[in-house]
Amino acid sequence: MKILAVDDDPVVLELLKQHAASWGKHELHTLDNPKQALARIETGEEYDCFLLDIVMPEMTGIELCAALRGVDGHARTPVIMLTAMSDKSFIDEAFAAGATDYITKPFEGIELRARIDLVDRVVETERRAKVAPYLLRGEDEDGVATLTRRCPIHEPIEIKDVDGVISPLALENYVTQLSRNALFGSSVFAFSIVGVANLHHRLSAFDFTALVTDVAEAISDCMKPNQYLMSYVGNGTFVCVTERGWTPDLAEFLDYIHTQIADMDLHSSDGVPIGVQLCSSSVIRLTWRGGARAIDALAEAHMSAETRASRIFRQQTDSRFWYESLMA
Amino acid sequence: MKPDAKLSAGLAAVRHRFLIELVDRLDRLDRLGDDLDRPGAVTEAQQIFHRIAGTAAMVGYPELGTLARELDDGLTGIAAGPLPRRLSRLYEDCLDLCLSVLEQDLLT
Repeated sequence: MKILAVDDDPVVLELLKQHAASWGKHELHTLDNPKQALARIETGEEYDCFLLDIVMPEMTGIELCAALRGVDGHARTPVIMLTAMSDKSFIDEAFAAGATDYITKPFEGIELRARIDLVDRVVETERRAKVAPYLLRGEDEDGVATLTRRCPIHEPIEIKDVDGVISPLALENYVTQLSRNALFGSSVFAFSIVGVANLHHRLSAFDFTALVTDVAEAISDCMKPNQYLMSYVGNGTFVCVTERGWTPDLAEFLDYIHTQIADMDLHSSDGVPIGVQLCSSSVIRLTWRGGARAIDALAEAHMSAETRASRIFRQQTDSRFWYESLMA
Repeated sequence: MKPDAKLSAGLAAVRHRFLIELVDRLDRLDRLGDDLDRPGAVTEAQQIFHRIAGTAAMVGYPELGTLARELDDGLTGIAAGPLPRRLSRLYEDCLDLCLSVLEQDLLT
């Protein structure tokens, strides 16, 4: 993996170089100036992973992270923040800016290696996904056969420019490292789109991505101004983490989101209105669930929302079938 | 050279680099200590403590790292000196510890 580390402290950069040299399998490049780093990234220099210090003069690592997310090809490149900050609000800000993970300085070489190895596996998985895309046969307007890549329904589509939305991996890293105090006031819940398989089948890849992004935006808008992070985990499901004791009444909150979605007046590219119904999981309070158990809570919320969505969809289909049989 | 031995040698070089940097940082902190009522002086001192806090423990000086971290945290939100008595004492203690680290591991 080709890694770029940016830190204004030469001692940290030296340490990183020594550790990387001892692993032998990654190529580490270093820069002590975030603006130079951004310029290099913008020229098209390719990297598989970034290690960014948070506190740097001129441009913080958080600003650099947000800026590089806008550079072609780096929307999903793993970004690990290096921080000596004990203030958690910096960490939250980093995740919201697109960070994938963070390491607190001082760090142990073994911890650094574990995080880099994890990122390496993610990069390798993404590389394989690019090599073997899911192809759809179709025709263009002139009847010429086309092949387009379409995300499988279960794949977490990348959502850009929606406040509080981070990648599933970043959300897992985030909840795993919540402090005991933060855990106490944190809750996890999820929303699922009812009948998402139908929508995925009916809509073009572009329209489906736009729909998922619009729903994410509706949820995000309703969450404000509370402290939250959320992620699209695929299959029409959004998993949310809230903090500081705020947990919405999900029945009321769903109404609020549905109103927001109705106001968006969603249509597909060919002008057909898109009806969207969401359902929610129950709320899981993290209270004592730190580390890996916090990830279990994410999975639990995810499954619970999807199970409810399937049940509602089945009931709706059965009722429609019953009604149509009656009318026939 | 075995990988572990190579890493140890590399980390020893980093530790030396840290000590060389610490000479300048100590000098700067000492000057800033007499000038903390000047706008920007506290922020500059905090940035130096922040850097020391980030690396000291990784090169074998955990006590220095902890003290620097306390100062980094303590100086947050303070625009200018004079510092509260507790922080002022911590500031002095940290400078003393920097000096003793340098005397022990660099200046011998």
